[in-house]
Amino acid sequence: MRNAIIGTVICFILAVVCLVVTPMYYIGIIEWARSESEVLSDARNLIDEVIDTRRLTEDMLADFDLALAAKSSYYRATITREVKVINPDPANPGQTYTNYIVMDKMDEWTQGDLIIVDIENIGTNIFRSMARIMLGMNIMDSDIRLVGRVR
Amino acid sequence: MKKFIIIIAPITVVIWLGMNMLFLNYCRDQYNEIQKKRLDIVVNYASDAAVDELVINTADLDLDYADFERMAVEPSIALDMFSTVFLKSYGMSMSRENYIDVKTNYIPMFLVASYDGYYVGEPTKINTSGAHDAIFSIKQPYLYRDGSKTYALNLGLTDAKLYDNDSLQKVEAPLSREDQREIINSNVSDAIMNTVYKQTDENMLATLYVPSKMSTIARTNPIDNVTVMAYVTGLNTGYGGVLDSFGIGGSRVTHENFVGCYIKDGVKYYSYMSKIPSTVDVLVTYENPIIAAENGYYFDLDNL
Repeated sequence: MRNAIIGTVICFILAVVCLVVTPMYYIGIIEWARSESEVLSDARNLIDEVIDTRRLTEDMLADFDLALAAKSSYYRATITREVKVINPDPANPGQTYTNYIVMDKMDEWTQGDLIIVDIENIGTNIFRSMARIMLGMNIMDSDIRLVGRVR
Repeated sequence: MKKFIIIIAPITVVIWLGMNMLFLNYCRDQYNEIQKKRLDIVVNYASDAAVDELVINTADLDLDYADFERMAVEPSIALDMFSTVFLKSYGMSMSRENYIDVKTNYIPMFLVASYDGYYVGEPTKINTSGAHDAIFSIKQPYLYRDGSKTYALNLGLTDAKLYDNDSLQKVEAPLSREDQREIINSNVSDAIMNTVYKQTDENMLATLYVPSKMSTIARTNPIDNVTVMAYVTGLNTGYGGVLDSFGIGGSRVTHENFVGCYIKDGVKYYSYMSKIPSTVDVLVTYENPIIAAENGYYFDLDNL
């Protein structure tokens, strides 16, 4: 009789793992892969618009934020403008050195600037979260970072 | 009943395990695919940036269409810009070591096609203690041989240089425009394949071919302007896959963004002409920021 109870408990756990947790994990991974590749396309759209028009308007930002919010995972995007600066080298007169300086002013861009879009994954979708809570199943995640040069 | 369960239970577990294994495979493929897509985008932006920087920084300003032939390009500028965008995209710092690392380990082939020839850059051993750096070849002409006559074609497609064993002269193009395009593209394709084959120790992940006609399937243009082509390989994903990617960047006609120099509070500054307020007295203008900086002017961060 005691054996039967232990067996039932083990069977119940196995059934839950097989029928509930694993499918959730599977669905979670598939959803994650889809949203990740969609986010790549969205970031690419934004960069293309900026490097062709040389400006970043509120409308473009709102569009981009809306696109990120519509995914099943949660993302946070940081957009950085880096200005290419060439200055004379004080140590060697006649020579120059180049560096990139981060700028706060984002509305007007000049040719040669770099736009850096960092997209951080701050939360997973619900299926993956549940699989992680119940069984600790997770996969490697990596943040997305794309850089374009303004034409 | 008991016997039935003893047979069925292991089968179920094995099926479940097998399914997990299959899914692990699928997972890895998905992950590699996303990384591949990202690498494609990065290489695409990097080659676009490289060709733009190349055209802006090396075009001769006295150039008009009659002098188009004399347009010189400096391929190492393109490779530097390519490496900058690549490094920044993967979150690495722009140190000299990282530049060398990217140029020698991840870019086995970097080709710059200019008006009358192309340069191929490849990692080359530069001393006996194992140092490598990316070195460009001398300019290779777009060669076409017809019997004893050797022609050097160019992207203008109207004339060519003819060498018939004793003299070099300028003649009309020996072939139709389409045929010339085909020869130029096959020259470039051969150079690409040769270099990649040599550099990857004959373990190529892909075959590269530049089509001579505009194709609607692959959406690529034939080389008809200054072009940068780069092949990136050897990038590891976390799950044991190796990625490779090929990027083509074509240039377009741009106008120079002049810089004006002035003195503010006793310091020599330069800024882009379109951004300088009308109250400032501009002393001198230059074609690009590098020349201004070489003459001792500093970039003015207030005028942006």
